[in-house]
Amino acid sequence: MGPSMRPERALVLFHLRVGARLALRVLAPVLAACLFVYYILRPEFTLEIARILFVEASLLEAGLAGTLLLLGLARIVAPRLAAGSGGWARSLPADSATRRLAAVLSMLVAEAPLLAVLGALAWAVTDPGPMPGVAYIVRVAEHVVRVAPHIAGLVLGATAAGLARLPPLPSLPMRVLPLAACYLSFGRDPAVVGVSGLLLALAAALSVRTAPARRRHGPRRRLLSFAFFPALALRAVRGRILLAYLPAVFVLGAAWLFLRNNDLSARPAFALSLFGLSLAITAFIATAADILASRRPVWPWLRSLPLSAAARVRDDALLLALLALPLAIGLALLRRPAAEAVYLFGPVAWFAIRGAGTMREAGDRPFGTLGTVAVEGTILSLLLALLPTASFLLAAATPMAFLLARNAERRLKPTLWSERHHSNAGDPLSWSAS
Amino acid sequence: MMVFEGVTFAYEPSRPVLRDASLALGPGLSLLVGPNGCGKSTLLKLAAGVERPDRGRILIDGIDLWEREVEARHALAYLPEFPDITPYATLRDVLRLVCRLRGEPKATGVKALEIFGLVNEADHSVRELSSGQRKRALFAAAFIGWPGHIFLDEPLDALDRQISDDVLKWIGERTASGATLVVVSHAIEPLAGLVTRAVTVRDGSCTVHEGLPAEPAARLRFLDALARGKDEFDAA
Repeated sequence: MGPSMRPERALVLFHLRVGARLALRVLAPVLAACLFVYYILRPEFTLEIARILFVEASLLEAGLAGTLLLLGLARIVAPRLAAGSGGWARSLPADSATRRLAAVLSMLVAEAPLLAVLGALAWAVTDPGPMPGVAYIVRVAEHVVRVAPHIAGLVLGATAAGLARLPPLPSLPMRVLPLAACYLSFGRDPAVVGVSGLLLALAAALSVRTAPARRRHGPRRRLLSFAFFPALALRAVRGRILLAYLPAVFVLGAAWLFLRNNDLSARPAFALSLFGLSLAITAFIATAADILASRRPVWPWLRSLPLSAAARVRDDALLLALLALPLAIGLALLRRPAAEAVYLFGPVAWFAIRGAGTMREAGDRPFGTLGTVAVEGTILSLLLALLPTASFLLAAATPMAFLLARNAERRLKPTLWSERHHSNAGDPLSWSAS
Repeated sequence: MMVFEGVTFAYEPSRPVLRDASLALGPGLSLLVGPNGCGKSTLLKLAAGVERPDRGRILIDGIDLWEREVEARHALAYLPEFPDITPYATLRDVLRLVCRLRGEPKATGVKALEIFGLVNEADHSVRELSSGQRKRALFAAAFIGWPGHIFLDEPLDALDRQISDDVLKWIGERTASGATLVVVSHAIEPLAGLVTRAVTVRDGSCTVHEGLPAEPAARLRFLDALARGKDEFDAA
């Protein structure tokens, strides 16, 4: 038997590899988003936002926006890295402090592509500008001194957000410290960033001592037998479904503001409102289907019961369509609600079925359910804005989408491990092992 | 009768688990034996409609499992190796679902819970149950509707001795009643007396070994040899 590696080193190396693997997976969407931002929104827009975040905003504004951004990122990354950390991994010869800190390090590595983009933006907006009569090297040194608190703040903030979001989630009082550290990391002043670092060290020291026990309780109320599957899905996603409405509300709000503040003639106004509504529905269904795919994965045993693949797809599509109905309130904000309502039937039916179908293929798709439906939805929404009658074509094509979704459900190999099953909630085996 | 016709299935295209496999299993207990990873559980998942063949078809009483999905599944019950029950429903909810899908009254679900000693756990979630209790819950589901084709993956794992005895008795009764039972088990001894035939999976093809030795010790030796991956002649 060869000499054994120190447990800390082995764990850190393992987590670095895991983080790097996830980083490679998110690199492609991050690059795509960068290209989108650069070519569609133009660099001036991006730099203006970065200037507000890193230079002009007060600590209150920058801290809140930055904390929300890093917490959102940590919210996506944490469950992907923490899968299985509460089970067999705890039997390995390493203490819980090392395990938790190694996992936070892994999160940092996984978030590196986005942090690098933010760092590059911070570098771009802190340029001291021309300094006549000053050597180039002095100018660069000045630039480094200006950007250093931002870069250090980003790393500290991301670590703090990771600590606050890494499962098992610390109790609420124990989350205050890392959240405060994350908030102060956007302070720009080296002293404030230093305080953030101190708070982070304290939070790290406390969090390893107070890891909460896993909850094992389950549902107590009975499900309605006639609505078994929708009720099951709603229980799986719980309040998270409200998050799916956020991007839709944002899109509707933007469309409403544009219509209010621009004096458009009837045709462009109709096209814009149709585009906004269709995009809002897309945004909702893409996010809701993604949450559902992650929280309520395929249930292998269910496939042996007398229920067809078509019925399983139909139930999910109906649920997505019903949940999208509250967005119809957006119609009231627009100019000709009745006309737009008629044209929206096609997109709702199509995207609900596409959402249910792509949920079955999420593991095989590089951007998952969210990316697939969002891209398709954006293109089709543009088409609808240009050619509203395409709505009827979409409605006519829904049987084809349904057949595709049914075939995806049949093709699915539920026992094949796929990267989609990243969290305990998303792993069907965790149903038996948890 | 459960029939595989030219079934090919792979998790990874380069490594098929079954390659153009054909098989027909009639009434009685068919014991699927073989080394770990040879494809026993996958064969059972294919038979139960959990996985779909990449090529070929599977018939349950002459009904294609993927052409007439609901009808074919009415006649089968499946017990997976890992009892995957959703944590978002109680046991009672799950059994009521099975009753509804198999067209049975709710009382059948309650009776099944009683038979498998789960009445007190009926309103609990899977997270609160032990592995053995979860398995018993799926046995209770298999009881509902009296399906004629029963596929059991390691049915005796994690069960206490009393429940094991009850399950063996139930398997014996179902075999005697003319049901088609296909069982994957590494515990051969308790089942050896009930086995009608053995099935092995090797290099993507299936072999049915009919006419097992009648003498108990010889039968056990034969099944044990097959389970260790030896072929029929070596086993004999």
